[in-house]
Amino acid sequence: MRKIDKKSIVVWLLEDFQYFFIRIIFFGIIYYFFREYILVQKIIFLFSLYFTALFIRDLILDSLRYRNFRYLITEPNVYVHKGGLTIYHETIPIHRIQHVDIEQSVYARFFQLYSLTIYTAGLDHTIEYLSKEQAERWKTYIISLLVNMENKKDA
Amino acid sequence: MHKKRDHIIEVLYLNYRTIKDNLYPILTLLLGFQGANYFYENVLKIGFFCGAFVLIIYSLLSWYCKVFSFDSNRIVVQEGIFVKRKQEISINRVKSVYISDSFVKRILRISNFHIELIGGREVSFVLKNKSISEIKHVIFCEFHYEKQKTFTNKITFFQCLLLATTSFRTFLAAISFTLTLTSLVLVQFKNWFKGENIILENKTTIESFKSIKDYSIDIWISLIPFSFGLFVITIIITSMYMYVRYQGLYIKKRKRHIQISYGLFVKKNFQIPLKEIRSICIIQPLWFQPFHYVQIKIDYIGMDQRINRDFFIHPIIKKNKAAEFIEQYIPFLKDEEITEKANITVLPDYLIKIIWKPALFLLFLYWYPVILYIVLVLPFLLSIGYLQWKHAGLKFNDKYIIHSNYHWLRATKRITLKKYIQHTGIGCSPINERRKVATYHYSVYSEAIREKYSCYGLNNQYKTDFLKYL
Repeated sequence: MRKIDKKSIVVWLLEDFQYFFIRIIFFGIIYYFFREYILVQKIIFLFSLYFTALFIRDLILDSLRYRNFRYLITEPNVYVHKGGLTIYHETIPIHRIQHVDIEQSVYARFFQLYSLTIYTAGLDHTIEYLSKEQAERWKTYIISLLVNMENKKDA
Repeated sequence: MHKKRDHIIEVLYLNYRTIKDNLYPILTLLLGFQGANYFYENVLKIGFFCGAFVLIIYSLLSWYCKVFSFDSNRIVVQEGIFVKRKQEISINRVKSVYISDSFVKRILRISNFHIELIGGREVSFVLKNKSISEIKHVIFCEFHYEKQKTFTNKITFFQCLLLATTSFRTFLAAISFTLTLTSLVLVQFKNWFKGENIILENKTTIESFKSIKDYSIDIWISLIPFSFGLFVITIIITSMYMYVRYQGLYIKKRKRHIQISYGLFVKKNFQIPLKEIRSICIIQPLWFQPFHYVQIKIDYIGMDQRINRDFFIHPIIKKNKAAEFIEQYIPFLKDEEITEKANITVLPDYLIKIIWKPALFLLFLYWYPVILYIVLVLPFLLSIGYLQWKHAGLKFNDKYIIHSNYHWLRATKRITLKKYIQHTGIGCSPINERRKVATYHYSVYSEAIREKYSCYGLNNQYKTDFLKYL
């Protein structure tokens, strides 16, 4: 099975830091306006503690996520293994795929990385992050498999 | 193609729908402006008459501007007052048709004719029954319609009482009605009440709330039977609504579809194509469990999500008859016993998952007296966690997946056809690896785009088979 790009860890770290930063700013604003109320102070402290713990957890898990993330695209199925502590194995039959997208988030742009999203009629599955050549190659390959399947059905 | 319009009676229903959807929120806002001294009374009166005039003109124009025509290949609909829309619907895009009517429309021999399209959209027309018959026989001849002559299922009063506990929205509407009625009765007969009469003095709302802490314990105790009485009246009103809604339940299986109709005043008639049925759900709400009743719901491709929320193929049936019912009407799906349930070793996980947030809240804020009331809720949450573990189960074969779970006071068993399963997956943490359990998850074909289900804590011996399921 193939691995994703190692720079994905940095992109994930930046995304985690962004979410953490926005939440801290939000609670900071609430604290600034309602700091006279002890109950509000305590609740904000509690939530800040919670989101800080989440952030630290994500920092630790991002390297595990990279280590566990594997994918394999074959003619019958797409196999994806991902997760930090809990590892998820997914099997997506090619004939269930509706379409494939390539996306690039803000932070991924700094490292020339792309995510490949596979859409079925029930859920979407993302392989992130890959280099542009890899993402384009896999997208073309999946679409060619879908087209071949359609042609076989028509024949 | 001869162009038609909806029946003129539809203008009244357009008025009603516009009031229901727009005027109630506006009225609530206006009542807020009214103030304690009726300062804006004249302004509100003028505003009311202007609003009523605009509403009537809007309904007339909406009715007049909607024009449609049918032929053997397509339906053309033009509507819209300021922004005109024209739709051409190909007949082969029609997923299903159904008919509904109300008490007034039944007297006038007209009905609402609904057409459901691929993607969940719906188009409806208000026509004479004779016209609907002609359209159905000429254009929708595969959707064979037969007017039922006799009721095949009667809902008893006890079943209506049970059904009354299932719809929270209906219960809220009934309680609002009960409280309004009670306040009118109290105002009219206030001289009958003796004692301090704190409730009936001429106070503003804020003063009334502030004086609550002065009430003696006797008043609070006397409120208990009063509240119970209100609750009983609300349940009776909700039961009556459920009786009117589901009475006359008629189910008939035809070659390619199932016909279901119910309703005493507002009659609904559905025709569900068998080939579009994706899954069935056997639901057992909390109050159904001691009496061994269940509800059977169907999911099929193309159904409007608003209708699907309250639509049951059978609203209430004995649990031991559900399997027989499903075999009779939907033979390609079968209600089977789920042998693979969540392991006992994961019971603490279920309990911790539901209780950890309120417990954490309690731990950090225990010094604030109000927070201590969370302690009273903890046993209830623990029982929910236990029931979630007890009902968690999954079974799969080459035809369908059967998945049972418990979601906030409702036990659900979902049977989904294999061809609608989009992917399968397994999740396992290192701790669960040692306990030999895993999370099984799958997604299903859905017009909501994302529809995923998972079952935590099953034995991991089936994981290879489950990953190769499709």
